[in-house]
This record gives sequence, structure tokens and C-alpha cells, in this order.
Amino acid sequence: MLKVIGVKALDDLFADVPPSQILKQGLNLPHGMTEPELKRWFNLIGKNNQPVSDRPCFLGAGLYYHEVPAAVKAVVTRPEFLTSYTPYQPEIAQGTLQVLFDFQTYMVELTGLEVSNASLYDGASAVAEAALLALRIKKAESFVYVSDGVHPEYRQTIQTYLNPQGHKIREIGLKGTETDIEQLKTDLWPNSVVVVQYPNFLGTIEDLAAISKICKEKNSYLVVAVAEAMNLALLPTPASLGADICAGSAQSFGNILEFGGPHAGFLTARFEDIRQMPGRIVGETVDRNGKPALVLTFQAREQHIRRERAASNVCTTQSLMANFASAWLYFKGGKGAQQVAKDGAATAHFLATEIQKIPGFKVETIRYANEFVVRPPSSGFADFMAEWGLVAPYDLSKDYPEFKDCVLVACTELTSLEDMESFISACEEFSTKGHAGKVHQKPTELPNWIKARIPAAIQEHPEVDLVRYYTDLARKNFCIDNGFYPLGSCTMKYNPKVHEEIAFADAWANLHPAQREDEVQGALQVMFDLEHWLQEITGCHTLTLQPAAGAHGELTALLMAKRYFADRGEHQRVNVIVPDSAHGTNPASATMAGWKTVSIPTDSRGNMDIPALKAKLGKDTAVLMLTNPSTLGLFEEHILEVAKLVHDAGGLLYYDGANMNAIVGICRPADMGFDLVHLNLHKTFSTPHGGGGPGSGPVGCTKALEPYLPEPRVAKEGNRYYLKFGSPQSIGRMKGNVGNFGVLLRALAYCKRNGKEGLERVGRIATLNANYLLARLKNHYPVAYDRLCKHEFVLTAEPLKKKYGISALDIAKRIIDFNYHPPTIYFPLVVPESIMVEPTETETKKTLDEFVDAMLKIRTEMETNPDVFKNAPYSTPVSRLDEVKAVKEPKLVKK
Amino acid sequence: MRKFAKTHEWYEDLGGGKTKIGISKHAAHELSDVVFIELPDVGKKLADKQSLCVLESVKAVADAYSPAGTVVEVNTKLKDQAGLVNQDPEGAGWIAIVQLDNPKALDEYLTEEQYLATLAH
Repeated sequence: MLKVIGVKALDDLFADVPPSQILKQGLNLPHGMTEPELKRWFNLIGKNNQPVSDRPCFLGAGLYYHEVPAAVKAVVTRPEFLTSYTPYQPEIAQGTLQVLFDFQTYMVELTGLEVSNASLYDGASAVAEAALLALRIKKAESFVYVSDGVHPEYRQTIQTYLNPQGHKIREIGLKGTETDIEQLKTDLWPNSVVVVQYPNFLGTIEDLAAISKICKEKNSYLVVAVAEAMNLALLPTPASLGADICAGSAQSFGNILEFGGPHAGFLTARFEDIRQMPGRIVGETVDRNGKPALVLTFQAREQHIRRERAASNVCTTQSLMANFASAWLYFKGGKGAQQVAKDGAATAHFLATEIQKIPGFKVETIRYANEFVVRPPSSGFADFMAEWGLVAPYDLSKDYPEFKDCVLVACTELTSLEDMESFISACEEFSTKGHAGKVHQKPTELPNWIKARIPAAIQEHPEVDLVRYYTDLARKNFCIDNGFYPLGSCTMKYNPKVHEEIAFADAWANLHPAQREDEVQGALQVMFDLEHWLQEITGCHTLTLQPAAGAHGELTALLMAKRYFADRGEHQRVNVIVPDSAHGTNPASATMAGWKTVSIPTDSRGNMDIPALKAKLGKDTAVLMLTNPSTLGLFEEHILEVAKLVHDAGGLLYYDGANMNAIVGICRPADMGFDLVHLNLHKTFSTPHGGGGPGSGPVGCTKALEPYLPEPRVAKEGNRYYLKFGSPQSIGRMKGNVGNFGVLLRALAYCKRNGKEGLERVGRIATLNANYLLARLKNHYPVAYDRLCKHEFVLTAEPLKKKYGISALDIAKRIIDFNYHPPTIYFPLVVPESIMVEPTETETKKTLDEFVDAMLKIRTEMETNPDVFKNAPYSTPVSRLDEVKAVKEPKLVKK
Repeated sequence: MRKFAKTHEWYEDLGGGKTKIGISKHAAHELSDVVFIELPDVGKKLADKQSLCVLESVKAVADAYSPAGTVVEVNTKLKDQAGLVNQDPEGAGWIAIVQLDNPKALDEYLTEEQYLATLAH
């Protein structure tokens, strides 16, 4: 392969990296483990967790322990869904598109609004995005009024998202356990945004009708947050009570707890507001033969097209977790979901009644469904419950001083008779004067005032039909396990099977993030250890694992930089500099951080144009965001000079880790001078992409920036791992819980399996494979920049288009007929008719040669049979789609 | 007489400092199917060469720019028929009428002939 490329040694491929940057001793990390060793290690560490599945669980507080049927898990974790990318090529992604379309339909049915997106990172960030959406619609410097009944983590996330753009948040207090409607009436300014939760964090079903009436009178928008989405199957829809936007977590539908994530966030709104909505949207259209088919639509809102003017910076979100929700709802239907909600509520009401009989205990929540606040006779109740062997209910002392010592008790359909008996016995023991009755049968009675809605129009299906439906959809999806996936900039490497086996073990899958610290030591250790590996790989002083995807990491880092400059009194630094080849997420993140984007052209070698950079650097420079290697697949040859220029100007240097795969084990971003670094665990660290998420975007930083990291952070004292809060300079929360833990777990498995030697081969082999493909293709397809590439390279079909009338799109569609996923096309924008190829290190020479053969065959077809391109692909379930119709005649839910 | 901008807008002098604005046939062709136009509100004040509106096709967005002035009328037909911009960009697909702050602002723009010459390169 080296001979074909024309170099002598593997390390010659890195001649463009400054010699001072090459890691002479390699990475200071342990050796790799065999697969049995890896499984053994995770088994052992998993024993330090006490999952909720084998004890009575009364912990909810935003995440709920519901049944995840085996069939749901089996169908969704099929490789066709697990190992595919975001469905950019609809002809080979109808499976993913269909389950996301189903998800949209179900969220619309459950909330009563008109349109839904195809998921967001989680409940907390979805509600923050909803508040931003409402502010865009109101087009004013509006206030956002947030009820204290909204989940504390949601409130913190809203704060983090809204502050940088200068929006003001006002608190609406509680009266007992419900939003103080009188205060809202008095305080609300016209043309504002109001956020309440339904049912709220303390379990109360807020009087949405009364709240929305006040909002309407003041021409204000009502955002309804939802944490326990199962209750949407039971209660009147938020829209029927006046909600303008609904957002929250769909975790209750088939998403395992997984120590807090990944979980699907959702957002529904009115059709008239669609162009301001964040996130992917799937729509129905027809293919060339008039056959109905699905496609990502209204894409002009999104960062990859609108860049700094995008509705949001989100890219990868939670497709796989939305898929779990879809499968769950397809299986159980609207009626089944309502029954689950009824079971939880009936159990909660029965339990509450029994608890009230015990002297000294009081139920504080009014109008609740499956969750309520209990005030015990004295302090120490939560600790006592844990000692009694229960998964203790949530202790409210920390978040609500008025409910000091009180606990939030959650029931679901999984709460058994024995669980209730344990709970009551514990209460009696605690009160020492107990005389509550024995529980004889599982309660089914709901209080009269709960008027169940007409079940959501979601048809239930027998298990065998669920399995067949998904099997049929899976056949319509291309995935890594089907074949080569050279999707440039997406690093679609093979995802080892052992990671999945480890991740679904009970010790991780059924762990609740609000459990007591001593019950989750194993999970905290996984995070702590992963931080250590990532520190060594990036050279960063420290890291946060909280961001849910790459773009989320970008925003995290920019918010940290913003706080940092504010602390130094350098408010004039408002410009974020990006090369013109940057991903659209970079400028979109800059806008979300409340900053301006300045674009720098690319020079003739594909580097950043240094004179242009010098001209733009100054006292107004905040951050330079750089992808290195760049999106052209080229190492920035002047990186040390760039770093010096930015630092001399007083700015910070940010490393977009989208292309980290090229340099793992060879050189490190922090050594090059980057102050902030993000990684994409779903790219470089081989966690499956799930058809558009979950991702994970850890952010590393220098010592000077450490105080600004989001919280909580994981720390260790002696042998004890714990979550740390309390840095006054922290930017706050970027999402709920600790991060996408399930992704972190797989990434640690990847690190440990590979070890030092394995990781040091990643960048080298990825770069070897890319240069080999480039060398073999470049005499047949014009190259944008003819020099050694890193892990990917960019071809241009511009001359071919002129000569044969065949575009990059035509080539992409034709390669599908040879059973390959097409390369990335039309990105980066600086290369006309671009075709971006990234083979990754997990492909063999044989696979690469076969791909070259196919590309050469296609090249010959341009001369011998150009007409074949016009209708390609021929081998797919649907042909090319009418994307104009998808926007002009929008169909965004199943009819 | 119509004037053209290098950024592919046409400006038709309606007299009294009012100018009708649209995009050129060339721009409409390049954008392919325009599916939505974010029309400005009547009364909106525009700084010189500020975006008048955003035109959206399936896979691209583009701005139309205006000299400094105030929007006095918009082509409301475009709300439901954005495609008019493709069918008749220099006629029924006009976008807005702007009262210019400086009635002589159009002087600096290109004639049709000059504009077409820029496209030849």
C-alpha cells in the first residue's frame, strides 16, 4: 500500500505534522485487553453498582423505571438501525426514516400539537431549545418566566442556554406544590414566554387551562415541559389545554435508565412555527416512480445549510432512542400506554392513601398522577429507606428548602404489591407507631377527578407483528454491517459487538442517576477512568463528559470561553473565527453563544489563509475554531503559527474533534496549543451512530479554563468516586444528568480493548487507508488538493460535470448500486461538486480495492453509458425522491 | 430603467425614490426551486446592502439585498406561491418595494448589459 502511495514508511504519511508535535514515546496508557478480559473487568466493576431492577424502586424525579420489552430491545438494536448514520441518503435509509416518522407521529398524537422533530438530546436541553424557539417566534427581547415546578435540571439547562443571548429569566414560585398562578398573573409582561411542567417536578398536574388563559391575555407563548411522558397517554393533551410548544423527555417509552442517558428528547409545535424549529424533521414525498417515500425535509433551517443563521446548532441527536420510543409505542399503542400510566397512577394514589394513615406522614402533592411528595415526621427518612433496602425516593431537601426532608415518591406499572408493602413497612418502622393495613391486591382505582383522555390514536400490535414490521424496515436500511461506509467526516468505523453485550448488562442498563452515591460507584468509576484515557489522548488538563454530541460540545466550549473573557473584563471579544471549510455547526454554535462568526478563506494548499487570518485577528477575537485535520482531510501545516497568532491576539483556540481519528496516538491537540478540545465518541471511539445519535461530545480544556466546565464533574477521594458541584465560575448545566452514559461506557470499552498499541494504530491505519484510496483514485477522479491527506480526502466532480453532465450527486447515487454507502457530497462547501471519502482504519485492503474497482467502473460508465446515472440507484426500495414536493406539500405525520 | 446588483438583484425605479426589488433570472435558475421566502414586514427599515429577505430552496438559502430604505410593500402572493420567483423572477416574482433613503442610490448599480457581462466570466 505504501508503494502505491509513493512513500517509504507509515510515518512518512505524517510529514505535514510539525516534528515537534509527534509523540515520540507514544501514549502513556495501559496495554489492550482481550475480549474475555474486557468482559471480566466490566463485570467486576459493575458489581459496584446496585441497579434498581432487583429492589423496590420508588425513585423517579425525571427518569422512570418502566418495562422495556425484550422484543423492543431486539428490534431496535438490529445492526441496520444501530450502525447506520443519519439518513442523508433516503434511498438506503427508509427504515430509519420510517421509525423517526413514526416517532414524530406519536409525539404529535400524545401532545396534541401539529409537528414534531425527530428527537433532541434529552428532556432538559429540549425544553431549553423550546424556550429559544418561543423567543424566536416572539421576535422580541422577551422575558422567559420559568415555574419552580419545572425539573431543577431543566431550569439550570434553560439558564445555560438563554444567558449567552442576553435573554432574561424570571422565576415563578410555587403555592404548595403547584405553580403560583396569582404570581404569574401579576408578574407576566406582555409578549413573553412561560415555561411550566406537566405534571410538574413535584407531581402536580398543573392547571394548564388557567395558565394558558393568562398567557393568551398577555400575548405570551406557553411552553409545556414533560418529564414523565407516559402521563401524556392518560391526561388531556397539553395542546388541548392551550400549550403552544411542548418539549421534554420520551425516556418513559422504551428507553432504559442507563445512568441517565442517552434518552430521547422531543419537541412539538404548531405547523406555522416549523421554520424556526430545531432538529431533524422527516417528511413524506414520492420517488421518481410516484411511490410514497420518506426524506429529511425542511433542511434549510439547519446548521449544515444556514450556518450562523440556523435555528439551532444540533446535528447528531438521539435517533436510536427515538427509535426505542417508536417501537415501544408501535407495540403497546395508545391504549397500552394509557394502561401503563393508569397502573402507575392507581398505585401511587393507593400508596399515598396508605402512607397518610401512618402517624406523622403527610402527602403534600395535590392533583398528581404517579408521583407525589411525602413529608415524613422527622429528618433522615430518605437515608432510612435506603438502609431498609429500597431504592430510596428522591430527597427534595437540596432543590426545595420548603420541602426539606421530604421525598418524591414515584410509582410505575413495575411497582409490585411487595414493593408497596416494603415501602409501608419502612414508613411504619420509621414512625414507630405504624398501623397501616396490609396490601391485598394491586390497586387499579383512579381518583374520580382524573378523566382519562381518549387514548392516543396509536394502534397497538402483537409482538410478532412488531418484529416483522422492524425486520421489513431493517431490510431498507444500509448500515456498517451491510458494507463499506466511506462517509467523509463521519468516521463510520466498525462497532465491535462486545461493547453492546457489556452495555446492556443489568448493572449499567438499570442504574438511575439519582441513586445514592454508594450505589453507583461502578458507573462513576467508568466516567473517571474514561476521563483519564481521554486526557492522555488529547493532552488536555481535564475534561467534562456531559455534552451529548459534537455540536453540544462546541457550544459548551464557547460558553466556557465566554465566561472566561467576561471574568477578565474582555467583553469586547465577540468574534468567532472559522475557516470557510468548517462544519456548519461551528458558526451555528457561535450564534447560540451570542457571538459573531468571521470566516477565513482556504489557501491553494488547503490550509487556512494566514494573511487573511492576521487581518481578522484583534482585540475583538474571542475564539478560533479549527478542525485539524480540516474538513478537506488535510493537516493544517501552519498550526503552530496559527496558535501563536491567536494567543498573541488574546484569543482562545478551539479544536473541533470531528477529525480526531486521523491523529489518535500520533499527536495531541493540547500540545499544538488548543485551549479547548471536543471529541466525538460516536466517531473516533467507535460507539454506534444509531441512525443519527446518540453521540457524545466530551470537552477538554487547559487548567485556566477548568473552573468554567459544566457541572456536575466526576471526582475521586481515596477509594470513593463522587459527583462534584460548586465552582462559582461554572457555566452550569448543558443537559440533564451526567451525560450520555451508555456512550461513555462503550467508549471506555473501546479504549481498554485497544490499549496503547491499538490506539496508536488508529490514526496511522486510517491515514494509510485514505492515502491508498486517494492514490488509486486520483488519476480517474480530479482531486481538490493534491497532497498527502490524513484520514479522508476530497474529490471534485466539477470537471466531470462539465464534460459528461454527471454531478457528484449522480456518482453518489450510482455507487449505491454497487452496495456501498456513498461518500459525503457537497461538503465542504469550498470545493464545488465535492465528494469526500473516509475509509477509516477498520477496513481491509480487499474492501478498499473492491471499492476502487466499483469507482473505476462508474468512471468508465460516464463515457460508455452516461444515461445510466440519470435514474440511479436501481437496486434500492425507492428511487430518487422529490424533495421539493416534501417541502411544498408537507406531510410530517402518518395519516 | 432597471439596475442590477452583482449580488443578483434587480431594482426598478418607480419614481419618487421608490424601487421595486426582485432577483435576476440567473439567480432564480441557480437557486433552482425556491420553496419559501421569509418576507420582510412592511415598515421595516433597512441599512445599506442589508438583507431584504431570505430565499429558501430545498438545499440552499440565499439573501436578497437592498439599498438603505424602508419597506413599503411586499409581494404577498409569494407567501403561498414562492415558485413565482422561479417562473417569472423579473416580473410577477418581484419581492418588495422599498422607499430609498437616498433616491440616487441606484446610480451606483449596474445596467442590465453590465450585469449580464459579469455572468459571462
